[in-house]
Amino acid sequence: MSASGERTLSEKSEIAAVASGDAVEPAVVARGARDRCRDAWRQVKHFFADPVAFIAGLVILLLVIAAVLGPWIAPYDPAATDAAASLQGPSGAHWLGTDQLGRDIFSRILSGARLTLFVSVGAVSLAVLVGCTVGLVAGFVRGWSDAVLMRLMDILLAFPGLILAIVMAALLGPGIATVIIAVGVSGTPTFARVTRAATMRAAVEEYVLAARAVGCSRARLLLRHITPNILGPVVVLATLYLAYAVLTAAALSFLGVGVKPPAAEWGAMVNEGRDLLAVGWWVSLFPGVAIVLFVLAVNILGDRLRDVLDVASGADEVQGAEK
Amino acid sequence: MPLMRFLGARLVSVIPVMLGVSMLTFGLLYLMPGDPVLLLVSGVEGDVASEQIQQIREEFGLDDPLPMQYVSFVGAALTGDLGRSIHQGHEVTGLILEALPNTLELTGMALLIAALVGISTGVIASLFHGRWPDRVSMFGSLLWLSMPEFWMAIVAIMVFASWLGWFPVFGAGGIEFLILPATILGLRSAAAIARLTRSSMLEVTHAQYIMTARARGIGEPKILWVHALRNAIIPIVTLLGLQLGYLLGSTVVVEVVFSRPGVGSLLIDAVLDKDVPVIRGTVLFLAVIYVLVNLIVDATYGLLDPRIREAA
Repeated sequence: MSASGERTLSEKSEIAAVASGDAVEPAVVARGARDRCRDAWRQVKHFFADPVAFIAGLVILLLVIAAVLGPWIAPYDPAATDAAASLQGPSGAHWLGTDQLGRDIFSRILSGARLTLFVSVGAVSLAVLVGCTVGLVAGFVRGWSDAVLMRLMDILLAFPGLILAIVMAALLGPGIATVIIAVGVSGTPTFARVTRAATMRAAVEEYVLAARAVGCSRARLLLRHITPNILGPVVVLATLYLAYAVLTAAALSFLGVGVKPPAAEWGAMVNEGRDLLAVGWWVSLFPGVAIVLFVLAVNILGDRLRDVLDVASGADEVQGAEK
Repeated sequence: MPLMRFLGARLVSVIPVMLGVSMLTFGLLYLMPGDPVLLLVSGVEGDVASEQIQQIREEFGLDDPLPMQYVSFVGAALTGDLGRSIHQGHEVTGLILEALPNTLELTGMALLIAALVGISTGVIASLFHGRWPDRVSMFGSLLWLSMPEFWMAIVAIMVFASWLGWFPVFGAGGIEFLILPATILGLRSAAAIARLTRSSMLEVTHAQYIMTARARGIGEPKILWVHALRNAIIPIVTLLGLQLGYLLGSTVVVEVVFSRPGVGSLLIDAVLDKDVPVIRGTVLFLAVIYVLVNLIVDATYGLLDPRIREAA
């Protein structure tokens, strides 16, 4: 049935029934805040009931703690050089050894946690913000704005992800903001596509029709009715994209176009050890292990989230496309 | 005829993308920080005498209106002229063609490894659904996807080249130089392909035509390879195409770590040197290849599945 056309009586009453029934948006039905808290807690418990997900959550928690408390819990100053302690292997004094300048690698990994978390979360936020806005508008308004926006996204997709990020980094010059923008922009089209598809699916659902029938404005329709219902795939995609963001940001810094040394960026640290493999394998090895632990934990949580929220499509696209 | 129409429509849809890609790479010259004249010639401030600057502006047509400059850029690119590097004035096209065989060899080998290992692992995992081969391969592939390839390359060099001495460490040449980098690159894609193959196979094996085939008494191997895999393969082909984009991008990292001369290491050296003509040339080249590959992939699954042709 068309959006503007006249409707038969039976259709109208059907819409009214749907609009008033609690089957539409059960979460909106008035309930105590306490009930909601209990519900949320039950969902969290259900989510972490899986032992692998629990361990992954623990790893993320430890990383966040390291990011927040890094400077206070690190055994050494991550920037302090010590010529006498150059290239020492892992020992009681230096758990993960020291680099060529005698800096403690464990302390540097701890301080790099903050950088990694900041950059990757920043990049994902940028991609979500821009990509989802584009996708919502394109999928809801359709017509020529859809065509123009999605062609723009296609152009970004025409560059292999890492190449686009490298070009952006070349344009902006090395630095933290550069990495956030470069990684964020290269993820934007994927979010736009997934959001657009989900918006188009949601736009023809009965609850949207009902909301329209009771006279909702377009903006309200989009923000209050469609957006909450397409969050599932976006959240899953964002989690999986976080893993990609960490890897790409580290790759940029490894290649020397991202965050520059002496900042304790994990990718840059791996690069510093590249020429020292014969004399100090630990210099490259351990920062890489930190990356793997973080990315693996995020990937596990992303997979679990996808299973729990039951969003099959969309997220697959990233799983294959960008990794 | 529908097939030709389908292919024609795909071809047309590529045009705006190609236009956008060429505009972006053309614009790089003006988006890069610094004077375009210096970027085209040396990249170093004060390297060019002021009287020469006007001469260079004229030589490169920098005084022309931007649309005209864009047209001549595209025109030159179409005839294979991508300008000259700021170092010794090497032709960019020549540099790319020189590096290309190494990159093609690497991505080709990696894609082969990815397809063989990925699809067979995925099929095995789906056959043992829920049992340990399934769990091991799925966790293994997730772990593999979580490792940065530059780090894997370094660890591989450490173990297989430095300690065990099985392979030469750096450079390009015979097959012995290819095995390590291609495996690093390929196995990562294989992990993604294995996961998709598994889920695609699991979906297919519950389909009614599989039951029908069983009921007709067709042997299990034939059901697996002909009835199931043929139907499960379409998303896998799509992913293979996307993986090629990933592989093209990641050759940068792998070529850098293994010191292989290739298009990727050409690009990164140019970025570090601010060699704009080479950056423009390699980026344009890689993007065009990627777009064409995706076009071919689209065409392939139009061939594999008539339903897609109808829908498009």
